[in-house]
Amino acid sequence: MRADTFAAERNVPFRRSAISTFLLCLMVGLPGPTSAQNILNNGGFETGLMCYGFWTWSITGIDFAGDYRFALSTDSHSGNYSLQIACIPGGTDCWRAAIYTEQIPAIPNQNYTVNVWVKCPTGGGGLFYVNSTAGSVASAWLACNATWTSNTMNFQIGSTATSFSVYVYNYGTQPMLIDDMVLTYGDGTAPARINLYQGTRSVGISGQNVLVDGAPYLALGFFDVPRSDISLVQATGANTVHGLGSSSGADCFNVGSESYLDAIYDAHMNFVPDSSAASKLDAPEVFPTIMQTFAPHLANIAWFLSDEPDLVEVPVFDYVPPATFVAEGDAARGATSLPLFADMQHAAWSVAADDAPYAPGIDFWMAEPYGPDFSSLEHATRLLTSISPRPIWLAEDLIDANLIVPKAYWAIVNGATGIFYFTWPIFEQSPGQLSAATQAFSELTTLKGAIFGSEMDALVTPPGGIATMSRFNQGAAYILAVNPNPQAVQGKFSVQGIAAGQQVSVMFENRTLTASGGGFTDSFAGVDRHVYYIASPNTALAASLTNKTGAVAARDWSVLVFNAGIGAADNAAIANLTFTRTGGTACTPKVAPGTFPLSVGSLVPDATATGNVTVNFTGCDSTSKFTVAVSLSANSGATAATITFANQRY
Amino acid sequence: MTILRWQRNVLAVAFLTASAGCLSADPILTLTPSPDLSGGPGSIVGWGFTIVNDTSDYLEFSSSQFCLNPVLLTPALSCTSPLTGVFHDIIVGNDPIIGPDSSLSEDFGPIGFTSGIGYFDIDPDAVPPSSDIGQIVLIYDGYDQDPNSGNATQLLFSVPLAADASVTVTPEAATVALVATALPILAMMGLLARRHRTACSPAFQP
Repeated sequence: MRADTFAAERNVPFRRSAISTFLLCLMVGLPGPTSAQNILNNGGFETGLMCYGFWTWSITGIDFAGDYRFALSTDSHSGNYSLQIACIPGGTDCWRAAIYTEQIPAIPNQNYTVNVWVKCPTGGGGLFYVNSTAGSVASAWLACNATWTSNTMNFQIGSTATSFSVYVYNYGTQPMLIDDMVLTYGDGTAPARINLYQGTRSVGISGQNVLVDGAPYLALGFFDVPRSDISLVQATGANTVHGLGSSSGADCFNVGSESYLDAIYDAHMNFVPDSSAASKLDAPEVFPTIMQTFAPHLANIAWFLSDEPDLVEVPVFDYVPPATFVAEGDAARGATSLPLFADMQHAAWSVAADDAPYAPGIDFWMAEPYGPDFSSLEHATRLLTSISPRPIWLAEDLIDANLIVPKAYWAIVNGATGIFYFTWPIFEQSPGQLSAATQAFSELTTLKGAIFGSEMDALVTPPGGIATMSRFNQGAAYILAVNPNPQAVQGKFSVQGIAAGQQVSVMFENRTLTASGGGFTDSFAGVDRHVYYIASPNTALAASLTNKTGAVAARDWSVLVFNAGIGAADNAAIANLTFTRTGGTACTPKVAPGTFPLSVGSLVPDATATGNVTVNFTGCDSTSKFTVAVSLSANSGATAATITFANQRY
Repeated sequence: MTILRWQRNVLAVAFLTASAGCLSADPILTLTPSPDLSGGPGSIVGWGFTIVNDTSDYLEFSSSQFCLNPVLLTPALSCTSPLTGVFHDIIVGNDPIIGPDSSLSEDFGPIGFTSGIGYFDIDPDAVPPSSDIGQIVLIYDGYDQDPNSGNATQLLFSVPLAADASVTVTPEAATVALVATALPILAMMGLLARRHRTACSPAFQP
């Protein structure tokens, strides 16, 4: 269990960071390899657009409405591929387009040199550009000579910049090929690539849960977390960082200090690498290399294959044809054991046919039911589950601070097991949103055991308008309840087997309710959540006769025992079976001495088990009628019940 | 089974099935004259019934209960007992067998409580206008032949059959005098019912 692992590690909180500090001290003094010194880990585009973003500008003013397309080309300066930015044949809207590195951690006042090889027709227009968090840094035109040409630019990062990004533009309508971009310090050196925690985590899928290190995983985190903010994100209670964004990648840069992924791991968090930009290139063949290069790190627990591949409305930036997407997934699976997932934008509002063709390409789902509307979240989870019941993680954004906590519960109640807020920089700038997200993470982490506890939804009926998730965990019952509507609701939660007078604690609100017969009553002022906790709840046993087979002298009766209460039925047993003849041919059924008590094991709420009782009906025929009393017991006799069935025949 | 009206009428089965908006091969229970009854503290109210058996099995009942909502019918009946009184079975004690494609209708017999599905003994201390809202749940078994024939094989085990029901406690108490007033009328109704009794299914056991 990941949480347990972390808990253990918190007892020695500095172990990971101590190791990393020690190893870094050893490595900093070592010279990097002289043959491939490069801060960039994908300068040659052999892994497509991993570690890069891309953008087009249109004469219409609408981004991505232009006619530029990005692709991999086998016309390369070295290696197998170069990156091509080209205007489509006959395209009239090709103003400019660019690729840009994700944010590279900066060393203040450091001199850098960037070199790139480009191939563009004479007269074509290309541009180098460096932008930092402290503003524009440098730019230079690229030479277009119809052959592969080296271009170099030197620049210095300012004293206040924390990161920077290198852009390569195509300003012309002619295609431009880009390859072998090398970024070094001004003296031509670059730190070696350091991964302290190389390896592959044990991650799998079980039903609708992601299992990390063998335990169900509740993913809570943010998109787009800069290296410098990892500790701040950790302080919110987040356990996972999503790689989609401009400020983080999967081990993209060699900067001398602790790598991004190592820092994530040292912060007791996990990471989800993102290949969205690469996914848009229609080049599934690079995905094995992507996985081999970027997946092996102990911080990585899943792979985000593509963002919004179903968004056909935005063809260049988002849309990936299903066949390409599935091919990418297949190629990736051949090179990593990490489960793959993708954000299906249509799931929140469209039909299953839009997303079903993508299902074979991934192992679990992400949806993005943004905004204050709760119904789109329910729509998304139902739709994706109808296509294929798998784990669902959600991206949540554009949401008011006061709705963040109830919507987080709404996600859980609707079956999601992951919540990522989009984006960290946005939340960081909004104290209200950040506080609410922190509260949501704290409460849901507290409830993690309950969320993955034994399901007992059938035993709890909420008032109209309220949705619940009812679980049993470690001897207690939990009911997570959400009112998704602004209308106030007051009503009774009917709970099977609950005793009058039972105390019901309302977690996180310091309230206690008292159950009446069959349930308890509470109110919701509007959109809100309540979490009910019932310690030592009652057990209620029920039974059913489900089969009778075999010879008259050794008739096998199947007795189904059902824990219909919200408490545990430990060591449940059929205590006795008695027969009272009420009609027909006279006879006396016999059960062998020593048969009872017949153990059926321990039953969590809403669980069943079957016990088989052999009865000797010698002398009876089918006209012989009996009233049969089935006596049940559990919890060392503290729980008992007798269920009577009249008019029973052998 | 003194006030018993057997009807083996395929047209009636089809009509009732269609009127229930369902064409599935599951029995249908209808409470008569109304599922929603009321009575004063200390009074007794009861339900008659129509059961339409559009299955190919012979049905026999093993239990009847009044359960408060929400009722958990499966995997085994979990029943919360009513609060304003106690439900008493009639139908299981009478042990009718309902053959395939048959229906059985029976009015509640307030005298002796010998016909109907069951009756509800409203607590003398029940406070108007309290009510119990739930379902009357029958558990039945199914056989390939009349189980009283001696050759039947049981095919269905402990299947629930339910209908919504409620009891509301009203201010006017049901008194013995009231029952006495109604007695001649009820006796007349019983006589009429006997005259209208129709032929029984082969499965019917008097």
